[in-house]
Amino acid sequence: MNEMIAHLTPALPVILAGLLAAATPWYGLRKAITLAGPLLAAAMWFAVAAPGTYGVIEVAGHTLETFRFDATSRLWGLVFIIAAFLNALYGLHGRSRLQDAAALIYAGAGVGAVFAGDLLTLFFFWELTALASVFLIWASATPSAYRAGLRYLVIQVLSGVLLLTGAVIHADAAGSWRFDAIGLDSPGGAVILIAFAIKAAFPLVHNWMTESYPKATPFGAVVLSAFTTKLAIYALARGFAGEDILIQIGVVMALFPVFFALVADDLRKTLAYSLMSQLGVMVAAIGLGGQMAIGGAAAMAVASVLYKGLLFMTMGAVLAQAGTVQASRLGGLWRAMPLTALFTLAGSAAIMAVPLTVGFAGKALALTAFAREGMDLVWLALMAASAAAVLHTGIKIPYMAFFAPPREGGVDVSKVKEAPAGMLMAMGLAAFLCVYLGINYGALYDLLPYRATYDPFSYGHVISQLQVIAAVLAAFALLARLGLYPRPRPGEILDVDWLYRRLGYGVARWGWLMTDRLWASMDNVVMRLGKRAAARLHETFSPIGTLSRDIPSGALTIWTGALLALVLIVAYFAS
Amino acid sequence: MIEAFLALFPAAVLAQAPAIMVAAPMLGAALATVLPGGRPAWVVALFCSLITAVFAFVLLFQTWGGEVISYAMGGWAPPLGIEFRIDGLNAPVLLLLGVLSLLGVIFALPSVADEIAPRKQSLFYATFLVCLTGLIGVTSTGDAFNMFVFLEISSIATYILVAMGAEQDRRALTASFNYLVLGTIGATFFVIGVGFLYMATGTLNMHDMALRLVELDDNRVVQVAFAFVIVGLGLKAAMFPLHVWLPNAYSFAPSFVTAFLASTATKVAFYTLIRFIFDVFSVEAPFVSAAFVWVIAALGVIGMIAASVQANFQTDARRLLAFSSVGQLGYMLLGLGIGTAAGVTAGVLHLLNHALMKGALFMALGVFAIRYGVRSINDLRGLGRTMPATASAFSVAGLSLVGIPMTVGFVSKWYLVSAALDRGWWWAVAAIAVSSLLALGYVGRLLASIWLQSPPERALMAAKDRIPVMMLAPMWVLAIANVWFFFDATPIVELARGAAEAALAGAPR
Amino acid sequence: MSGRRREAGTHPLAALWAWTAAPAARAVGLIVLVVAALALAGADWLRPREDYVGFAAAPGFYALLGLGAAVIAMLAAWPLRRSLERREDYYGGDDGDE
Repeated sequence: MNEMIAHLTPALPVILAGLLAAATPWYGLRKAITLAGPLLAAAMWFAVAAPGTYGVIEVAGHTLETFRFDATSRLWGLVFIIAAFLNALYGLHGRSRLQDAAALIYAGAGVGAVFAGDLLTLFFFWELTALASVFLIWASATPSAYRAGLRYLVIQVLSGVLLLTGAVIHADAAGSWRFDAIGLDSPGGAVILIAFAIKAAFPLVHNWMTESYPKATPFGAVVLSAFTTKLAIYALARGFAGEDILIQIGVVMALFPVFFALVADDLRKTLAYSLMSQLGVMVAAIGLGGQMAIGGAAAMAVASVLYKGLLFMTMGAVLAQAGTVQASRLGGLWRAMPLTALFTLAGSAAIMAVPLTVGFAGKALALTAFAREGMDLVWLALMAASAAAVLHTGIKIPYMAFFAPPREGGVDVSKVKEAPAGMLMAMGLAAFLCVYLGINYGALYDLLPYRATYDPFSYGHVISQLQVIAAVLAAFALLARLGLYPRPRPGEILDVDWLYRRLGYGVARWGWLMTDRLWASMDNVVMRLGKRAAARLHETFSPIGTLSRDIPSGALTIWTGALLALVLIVAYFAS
Repeated sequence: MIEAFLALFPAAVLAQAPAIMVAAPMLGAALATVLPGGRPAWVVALFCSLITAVFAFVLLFQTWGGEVISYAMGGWAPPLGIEFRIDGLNAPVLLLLGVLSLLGVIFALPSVADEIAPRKQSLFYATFLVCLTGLIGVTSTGDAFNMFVFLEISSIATYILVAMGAEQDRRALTASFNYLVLGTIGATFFVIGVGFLYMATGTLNMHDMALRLVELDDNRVVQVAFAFVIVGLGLKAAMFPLHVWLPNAYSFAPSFVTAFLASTATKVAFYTLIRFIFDVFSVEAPFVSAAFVWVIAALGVIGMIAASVQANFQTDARRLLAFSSVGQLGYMLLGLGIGTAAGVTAGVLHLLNHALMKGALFMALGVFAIRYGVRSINDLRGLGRTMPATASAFSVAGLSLVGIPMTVGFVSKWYLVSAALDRGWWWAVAAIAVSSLLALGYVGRLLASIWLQSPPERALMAAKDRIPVMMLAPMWVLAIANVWFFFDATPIVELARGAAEAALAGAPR
Repeated sequence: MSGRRREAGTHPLAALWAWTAAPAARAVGLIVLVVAALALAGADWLRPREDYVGFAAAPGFYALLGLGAAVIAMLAAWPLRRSLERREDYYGGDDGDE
């Protein structure tokens, strides 16, 4: 019993804090709770003396391992806890009890899923992330956010259902519920991979992310960006490291969103596509497998939590203060929000992988792994995707929001105020971590699942990365000068979600109308047939004979007769 | 603990327990008819249901571990006399009846006072007690014809109870009439089947019947009897596509009646199905095992998808839940159709769990109704803000209906999926997944309306009179049970397992 | 602030970025960026790099990669946007019923 208390999963204090926050109407106390939950979780993380599996509980004959602390899970767990704390800090001024609670329960579920040692526990937290997070989208309280949230929820729950299905099949074949390398040998593995793929926003199943993140509240998008996809990366790294197919998927995933990120008008949509591109690099690295690649994917995931979180925070601040993040309506915000602009540049530098930022330390490791394996083409594609990231995120986000000339009819900069202190503190802390872990990269590498003896600061690396960034910056400046840069403008860019939002919806609607008519005519036929075939039954139970026209009991009598016939036929042929 | 509980009763009382179960509500009904007002009659009903609840525990404990109680009614020894036979299969159903009727009666007082005219209230409670008598009788009896009699007693009382909703909505009358017609058809089919069985075996005692049927697998009369019994009982249990009477009956009956019927009446009918399929007939008879796959499981799967789809298109909240009940019955049928011990366990488990969910849901709707008179889904909007506590209980039970982890709904789906996988029925697992998504759809609609929409102006203006705690307490007991039995699933799983063992033990072959 | 009255709505710390709005900032910025890119690329001829990927060791490779990726992305965006862009409320805005 003591053992159990000593090693409860750090998810517990976070989730409990979320539940408490839901029940606490007093603003001050609630904010204290939201900050205390992640801190307590961090304390529990540091209290673990040695790697091992703790928090084992028995439910209905199944052994659930709720706290598996090992080389892979500890890194993700810590980053999630840090992200939960930063988010709580960022939400310090938020008045919404629902969002406070949902954010913490969601974060706790993410932590819980990372520390899950078996597939059942993983499934439980997996679904909890879906259920808790949707409220961050719904909290926007617009009809379109509501619908986007519904689509998000359906897809996320589907992922959970697939995970459970796959887990059952896998456990059946493997004889154990443990969550370790799964592989694609069994059909269960394939189903689980699809479940992970949905959460990781693989191409064709990525629209839940690019559609819903821009619809979430300013605070909500920050929280959402931290956990779901990175959890999926963790799960892939643990279950499917070295599966070749992931390399091809990863390359597509890294390149395909580039265009969408570039032309999106909503800057949070740009960030969502950019996040997807980054995830593509991680997925490819996981597909490559091996110590260095997995380590690189892990380092990139950490970096991504930090700088993507930071960028979502700054854009959230812009949305909260200026009322929009549409690039076509922004510009010149540096006057009103100079500090936010500074932090945005820090985030940009990190995503550009400027040396001495956390992005550089992560990306160098992952890409070098491909180079060492001699996969030149994959390496080239991923390099191009990173170069494009400099353009569509590193330059576009700060430039469009803060430094472009103010647009006609856009936001009136003189009426915008700088973000409140809590947001600034969270952004500042995240920016600090982006730079700190870039300089003291050893602290990050020490936590990686595999011991990496790799020095990113070789002359060749630093100069080549600087060359890429400088070339992209110069190309942007030049083409913008020539008027060849596709300036954002309002509009809906079609993505594959068109397939279900337009085509699928249309087909379903048409199908529904048709079946409706079909049923109506079927009803007629059945009733007509029924009157003849079941005439005797009608006579036997006379009261309904007259009533069969306007109430369904007549129809039911026919069903009863039909069912009797069915059972008789089955019984007859069985013996 | 079991011994300590049983030691509270004198041996003579313990020996008569099966008779007391039936006699208490029967005498109570007679007493209630002559009482002047609703409140005294309610006290009688409460007392009677308390007795049934206590004796349900007595019988459960007496049969714990596979004991079988055979009680000869009036001292006439079976197979000639009427036998009450309690075993691991019907003891949990009796427990369900006892506990839910007790909770239901506690809930009833304010709800009935609100919905039924004062001068009819004592008769209302009397009818309820007659219905309870019938249900207990059906569950305990070991005699096939006696079962028919009790089935009709409970059914006729049910028709009256449903018709009592006419004060709220005149359509309750046609709903009740429909139910009467179809229920009578079901009962007639059943009694025809029993007649055939009597013809083939020369006995009405079910245990005796089972022993004689062992020799009669190829007998066409027996097969015809099987068909009639299945269809007749299937209609009573609202097996798809024989469910048409149920949605109207549930949506127009008084709130308390719906809550009571949804958690007990169809469950008892379902119990009789298990009793006949597994105990009287045998799983090993070829016509029974064929019917498992082609009738029971097939209809179960079709029902759980079709009814769930239909639930998605409803506008009336109670009607929606009624269709959902038909869909949920599909899970139980699927469990039976799997035909293994694990399958029957899953079926009975879901039977118990579904009673917990639907009891809580209909009670919450009753609370909404007494406060705002709401019925349609649209009327539920904003209740999360105006009545957060009741809305929470409703949501817990609703999520349990979907089968979200941390609720009992997950436990029974889990057992069902495992049982289906044991037989390699992938299609059934797929159907369960689809049906769960559909359930998420219709429950999501209810919850979205409750939590996400803003309440109408008049709801905020309405005086905040207190909801009687007598309505809230039973609802919360059921809602908490929905979560409790996820974390401590052993009691209900053991009950279900015992029931499955008793069902499969059947007649010695 | 050099005695100039602060414009309404301007943050005190905005001085940090005031240079970006200077009249010459855009032209100078362009020149500085192009020169910096050329200078960094030119460093390859002064001190050769090593690389795991053979063709990447060629002088000026990374500068060309960055230039190519950025130019292709920006130019390809025009036709792609033309074919995929729809009006803003294509899926029904906030009041449409999807």
